[in-house]
Amino acid sequence: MAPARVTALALTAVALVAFPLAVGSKVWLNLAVLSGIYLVLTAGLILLFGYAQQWSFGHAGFFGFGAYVSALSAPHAGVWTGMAAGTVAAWVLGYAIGRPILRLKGLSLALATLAFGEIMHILFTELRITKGAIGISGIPSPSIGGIEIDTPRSYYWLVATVACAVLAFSHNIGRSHIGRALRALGGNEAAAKVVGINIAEAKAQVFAYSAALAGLAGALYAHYFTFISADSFRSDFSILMVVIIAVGGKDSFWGAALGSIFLTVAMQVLRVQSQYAMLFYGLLLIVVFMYLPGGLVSLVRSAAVWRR
Amino acid sequence: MSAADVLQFVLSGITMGSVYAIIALSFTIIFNATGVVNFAQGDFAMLAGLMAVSFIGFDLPILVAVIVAIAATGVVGGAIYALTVAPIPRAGHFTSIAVTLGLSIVLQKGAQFIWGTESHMLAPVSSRETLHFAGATITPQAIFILVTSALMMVLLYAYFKHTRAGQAVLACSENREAAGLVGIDVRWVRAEAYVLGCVLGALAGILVMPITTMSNTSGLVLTIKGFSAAVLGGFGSAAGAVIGGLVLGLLESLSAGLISSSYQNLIALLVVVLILMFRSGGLLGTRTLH
Amino acid sequence: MNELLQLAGLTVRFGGNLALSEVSFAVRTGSIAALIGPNGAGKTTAFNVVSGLLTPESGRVTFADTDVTDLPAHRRRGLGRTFQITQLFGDMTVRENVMVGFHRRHRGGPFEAGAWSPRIARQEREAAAATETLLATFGLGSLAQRAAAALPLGQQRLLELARAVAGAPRLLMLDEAASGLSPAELRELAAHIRRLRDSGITILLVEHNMRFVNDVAEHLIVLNYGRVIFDGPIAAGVRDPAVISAYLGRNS
Repeated sequence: MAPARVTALALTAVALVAFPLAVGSKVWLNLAVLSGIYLVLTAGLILLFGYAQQWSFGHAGFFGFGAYVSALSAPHAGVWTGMAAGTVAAWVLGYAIGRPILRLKGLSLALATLAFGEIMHILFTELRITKGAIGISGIPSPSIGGIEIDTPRSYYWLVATVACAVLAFSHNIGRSHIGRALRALGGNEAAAKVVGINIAEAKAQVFAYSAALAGLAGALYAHYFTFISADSFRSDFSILMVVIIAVGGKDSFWGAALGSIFLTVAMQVLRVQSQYAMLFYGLLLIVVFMYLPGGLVSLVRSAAVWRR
Repeated sequence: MSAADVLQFVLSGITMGSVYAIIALSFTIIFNATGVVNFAQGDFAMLAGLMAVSFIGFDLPILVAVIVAIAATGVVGGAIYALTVAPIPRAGHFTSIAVTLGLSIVLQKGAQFIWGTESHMLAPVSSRETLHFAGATITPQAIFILVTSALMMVLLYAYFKHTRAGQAVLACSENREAAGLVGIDVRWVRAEAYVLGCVLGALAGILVMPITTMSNTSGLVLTIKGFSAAVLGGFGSAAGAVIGGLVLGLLESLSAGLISSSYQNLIALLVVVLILMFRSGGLLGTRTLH
Repeated sequence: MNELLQLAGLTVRFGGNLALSEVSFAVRTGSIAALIGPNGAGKTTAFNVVSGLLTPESGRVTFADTDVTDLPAHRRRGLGRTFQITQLFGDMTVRENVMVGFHRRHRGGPFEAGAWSPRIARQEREAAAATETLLATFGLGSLAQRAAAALPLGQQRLLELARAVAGAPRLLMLDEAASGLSPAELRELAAHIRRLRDSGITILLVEHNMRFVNDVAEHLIVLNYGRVIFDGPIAAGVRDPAVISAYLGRNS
């Protein structure tokens, strides 16, 4: 590995460990947890959007699906099992939806995924089991060896571990033949087919993978905030995901990290309530796409090139 | 289910369908002339509706308030065009979707500051409750919507076929380079088409508001429905937009009546997805989205 | 087997246009065959059917004694091809383009890759080594880190060829690989083609450059208006009256 990269990783590791020890404020720890949850979510989207060039504007549907599955099964089977169930269920749903829907391209795909997100939201609102706008409260917190993980600081450790594992796992996929296959099909489908890549299967797999990570993130979210309702899983949120990867840089995992952290920090620095935040996200989306299509990571890359 | 029931569903279906058709048309006009798929289209409708409410609150007569609201939306549209569309004439699809989604959020949240999150109501066209017609009931508002929509289609047709401005927009939609070569100022035409689209969206908002009320978040649903209607009929085709809108409205109304009103949106969405999957050219099979 | 590739009665229609009409020919194992014909004769269409990118209305494609007509493109092992307009993965580097060519050799799905199993690690090392060798063979070693889209045409062609060769093809189909190349580049390409044939790969070329074809190929198949009008040794083909009139009759 390049020395620059090793240094970056080492620094990040130190920062990750030092952060909760140095920072006492619950607010900041809370934001860190949120950043981590978004990071789990966006890691999968990097492979989907950045590598395979497939769009989805409905991933809040998978996020919510994972959240509900975990929240509803945890009281019976335990939190860890619930989270696993949420992740797996989201994977299955992602594969089932992905296989047919990814035959579409471009605007059709955008519309179909948007519709999917809306359909899920309607189901979350209308089905009795999800209790619609009233929501599910009293979601249990996870525990290890009898110790409950129910404070921002303890949850931070959980989320940081999961996020790091997810990022490493996703990065490995990206640098393997699978990652190359995804980039190939994102670049030129005909050539990819001829080289032996099963396009339909690869698309469905990456979609399912991103859905699984969204579901996992949803489960983490549910067990942290201990309350979820249909309102948490609207198209707004799907769009926020796009903002995060656009801002960070949609084909880079560092970008996903940058984007997640940048957004949650910005939210705090502006000392905002959520409505200002969304306004800010909206403006950001516009500005980034117009003037910085490569995202924040492209700034870092050009700075690195300059220094050589 | 009696014939009167069916008639009822059909009437309410084509009423809402006309509104969707107008939004779908506005999508189509903007897309054909500028290549942008405007995911904020429904929010222009919302903006116009809420502005009208405010103007009425300033004691303007209703008709004036409505006209000013539509015009104001057009102006806002023009400004947005200048800021976000004109600078990047060759934006890819992903960029235009992302930028317009961002725009949608900005409009929604901006509206939230001014009008809060409650639903607002615009008074319907006539205070008389309902009319009766072959066993079905229909409100004056619905008739107003149908008549206005029909009138709008006729006007648009005349505009495109018989005015120089309209023909210029058509020419740009067909072939941007050729239009430029023939001396058409493509940038102005694109801006005109964009503003026209916004004005149509605004009109749709005004028409539908008395029936459904409107809050700052109503835009997204209208966007999805309008977009679905356009895609249903074959994206890029004006006739398709109209037919798609009507079909979508009928679909919704029938499923509300036969199945459940809470699931009507879901069924409409599902049908749209299925049609996308199996008939990529839309119902009329005229054009594909790429 | 004697004939590596057999086309039998292929018919392809685009709308009202009959692109291929009852096309049948075979390519002998270990030979270099050229498929020629005026523009629009159906050559690329034939390639697309053989590589699986297009489904014929009727007819069969047999490869290595197996009927592959209904197999999707990615399942047609042993077939390599290049395209008339190079279809590189433009945003990927030269090295990565060749590495993708080895895709069929890799085993393991996303979960194994995510965990970076020993098998995955080994496959990556082997693919990287094989890629370096292939890049060196085609003279692309110094360009390995550049974006594929940034290469000049001659080297893009070689890169596409290298990618196809990475797949260990038994039949290599080259679609107008010679077009737009300088005389020096043509000689280099011809040398590569002969070297590949000598290593046991059967070659089928689509070409417009008759001199190049004459230089390199042994067997000639001529298409005109979607029909085979000649199928035989190249020496006879270039003198055949039907072939000559097809070329003279239309500007190609």
